[in-house]
Amino acid sequence: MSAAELEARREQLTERFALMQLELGGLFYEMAIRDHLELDVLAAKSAALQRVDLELAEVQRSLATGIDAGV
Amino acid sequence: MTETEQEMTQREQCEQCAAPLAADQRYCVNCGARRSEANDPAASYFSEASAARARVAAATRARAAANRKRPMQLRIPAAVLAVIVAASAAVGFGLGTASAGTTTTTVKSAVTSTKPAAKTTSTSHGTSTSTKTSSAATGGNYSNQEKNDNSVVSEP
Repeated sequence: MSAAELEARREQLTERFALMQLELGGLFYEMAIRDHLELDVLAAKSAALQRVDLELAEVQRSLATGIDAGV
Repeated sequence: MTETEQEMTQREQCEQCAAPLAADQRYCVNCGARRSEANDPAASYFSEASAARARVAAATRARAAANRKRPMQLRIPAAVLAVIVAASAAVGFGLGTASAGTTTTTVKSAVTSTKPAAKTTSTSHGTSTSTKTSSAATGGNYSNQEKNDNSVVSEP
């Protein structure tokens, strides 16, 4: 994957991560104010967010390695 | 149909799990789905920020494309600058070569021309004179010497 593609992917993943984290916080708030905490739902959302986070870290690592290597 | 059942039928349902949702509910607390039509200030804030960022990125790309289309306008000042620098260097080199052998003479003549003549001061007796030579020839400060000259008192 070229550096431009990696940067585009990073931008995409960053936006997705921000949106998912926003939704996770919003969902927890919604559950908390209605006294209806569903921990398994929150855990599932957290797991999805974690997958995006890991992929984003991988892309950032690839970009940093590419920059170090002068690509 | 009871009143509670009527309320339940009037209340909206989750699109994914069909759980009942309150009017101001942004997320389904049963399955975690987000309601698309709910008023979510955070989501609208971030969508506006995202749109603004996209506008800035588009403007930056357009500016970069415009700069790529007119490369000559950038090259001409650089060429003019290079010519000016080269001409200045040539003139400076020529002057340095021409005056290299006469530097000492020029400095000496300049020192001689600024050297003051011997001062003659008349006293009240009108007979005595005092001479003082400047130290400019030895590199002294001429203005200071002038001050000293002013303070010289002639002897009878």
